[in-house]
Amino acid sequence: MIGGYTGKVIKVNLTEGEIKTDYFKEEVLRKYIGGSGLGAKYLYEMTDEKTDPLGPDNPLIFMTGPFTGTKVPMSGRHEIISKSPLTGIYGESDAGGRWGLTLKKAGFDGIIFEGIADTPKYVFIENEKIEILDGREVWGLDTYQTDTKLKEIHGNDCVVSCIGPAGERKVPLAGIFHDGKDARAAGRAGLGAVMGSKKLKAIVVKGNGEVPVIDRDALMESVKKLTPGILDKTKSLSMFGTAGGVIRSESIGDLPIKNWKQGNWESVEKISGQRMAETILKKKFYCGACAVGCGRDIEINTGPYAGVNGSGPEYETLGLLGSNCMIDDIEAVAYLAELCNRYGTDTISTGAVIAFGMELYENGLITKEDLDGVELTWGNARAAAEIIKKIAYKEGFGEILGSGVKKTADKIGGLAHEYAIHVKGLELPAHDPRAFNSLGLGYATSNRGACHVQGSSYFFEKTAIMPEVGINEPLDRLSQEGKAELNFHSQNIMCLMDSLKLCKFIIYGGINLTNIAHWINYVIGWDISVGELLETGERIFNLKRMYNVREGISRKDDMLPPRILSQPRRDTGTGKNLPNLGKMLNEYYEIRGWTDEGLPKEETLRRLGLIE
Amino acid sequence: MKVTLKVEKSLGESFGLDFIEKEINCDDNIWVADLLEIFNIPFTSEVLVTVNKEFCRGNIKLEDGDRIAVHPMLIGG
Repeated sequence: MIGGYTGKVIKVNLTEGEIKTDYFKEEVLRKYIGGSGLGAKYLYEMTDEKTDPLGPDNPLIFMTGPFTGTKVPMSGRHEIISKSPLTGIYGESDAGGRWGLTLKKAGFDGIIFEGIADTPKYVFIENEKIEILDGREVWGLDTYQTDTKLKEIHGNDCVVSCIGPAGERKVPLAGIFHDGKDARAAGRAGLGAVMGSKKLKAIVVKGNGEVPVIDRDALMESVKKLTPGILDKTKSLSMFGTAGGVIRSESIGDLPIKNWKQGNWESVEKISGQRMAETILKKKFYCGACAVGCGRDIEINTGPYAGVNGSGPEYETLGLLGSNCMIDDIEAVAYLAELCNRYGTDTISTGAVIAFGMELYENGLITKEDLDGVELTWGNARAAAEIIKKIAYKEGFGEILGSGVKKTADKIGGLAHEYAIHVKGLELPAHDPRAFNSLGLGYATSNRGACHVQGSSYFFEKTAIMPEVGINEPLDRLSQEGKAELNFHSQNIMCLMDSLKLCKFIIYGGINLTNIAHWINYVIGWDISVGELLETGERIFNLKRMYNVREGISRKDDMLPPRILSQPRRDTGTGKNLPNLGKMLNEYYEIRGWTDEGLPKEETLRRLGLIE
Repeated sequence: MKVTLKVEKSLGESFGLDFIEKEINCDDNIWVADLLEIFNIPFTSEVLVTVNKEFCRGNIKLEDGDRIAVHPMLIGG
């Protein structure tokens, strides 16, 4: 017997209305762990290069990890995996909150949706009981309203995962939202559109079972010992949320400003977590099993944005909807974030397309007439709000912008490509590769397109260490040296954490691979070495790369936007630094055991057990 | 007067400090930035400084018995 798993994954075919249960062998779990790893395995086997992301054959996979629902710190997370309608390649997105752990306590490790329902549906799960229910009553509601309505029906102790109007309309920027107005978002890669394509409005879970843990006493002793250190190191996240890092980020040239074109910004303090704490902050929000509480709960009672009430903007949201659009009013950004949360769009990609639209507008590539009278000028929060609504409801030019910056640039052509800041069709998050050279390589090679959390390499360029892979002190962020090896390790480690379902901020809390190996022993019962953990992460990363290679991805796609590669920020934080991508890529492919074209070599795949 | 300075362990190491917590005898009404400067800790956005568990927004004068804590200001999203 092993702990950490219920051993069951539900398969729901929405076309047929069928519900089945899938069971795992332990050897499969040991190879792919859960969460992102197991989801990637399912996706690889269930789809191919012809699969339409919005068609019936693209599965939508919700997976927890073996730590989800246990007392392992910062483990209240789950992963959603599917072929992305935004990028057309491997897609995944994770969320915190309480949905994942409640699914686990209801008796399931995951749930996979296939097919397309004939009419809107939602799924209700309560302690191993599963029902497909009529969703017409909630179809059309925003995510906050959907949560409220479903709680009226099923009780306040249920947890809701749902889409908003954007997902219903299959907008490629749509995400999947959890925990009502606390808005824990699986925002990236357009997975809300996949859910909408299946006419699946929500998944409601209720559960009060116990997740099996092999050695509870040892786990609790370890948690008790390590928690004070985690809290001490992450004090700033607890006090100001991720938004607390906005000012420092601007000072080192990390924060995107004016669609990644401007270096410094004197208004940065106005959108900081510190300002939020003095003005609109109501209380902290804690995901399951977390003592840090980096989430923010805000309320605006007066002024033009009165009525905003719920999840406060995170660092990424402030970077993309705030500084990148030159909007310097924390209440305005909170309002825009709430619109995204309610309509169900990713605040990162939505902020990115609005900033992109502002640059197109400034340079006359789109006009007021194109935008039905909206003057999309820098810093214009009201215009941004109009655009968010147009994107969510596919109105006018909003339908084009809602396809993401890459497809919009393809449609407009010419100089629009200069302003389109993305990798493989996924808009950049709010960390600049010109401020952290490792991020340049990380964005270029991330399996879902531009992403800071698929490698989180920048953690190790300023604060964090990971002694087990030789990172005994943070690396120089503006050096190119050692960044290929850093990405190799950090991407493998993050694959592991996305599979166990651990919040990556726990690394800031000083937790290392040895601690994780101990927790695996206490929870699952496996005596696992750090070496096996690293190889498992490497296997999962390569599996996702194999998926993308099957879709035609190679070195030609492992690129950065021209602006990031060639235009220095010329700010006080980065000066004229630019990431030397070609050099780093060469080293990286060699370390990974890939060809010069970025294809995993047969011997690499064989070593990792991915081919016979 | 006496104040107590606590610096998060790894941050302290990066500043070359050999202590986590220390009681310090200092001049009356010393400014927080001046106290930190003694230990080569920059009073910038790089660190989170609290005085008696409250966020220290600006350079303030310290009082006898104050407890100053310094933590890394983390960037992440």
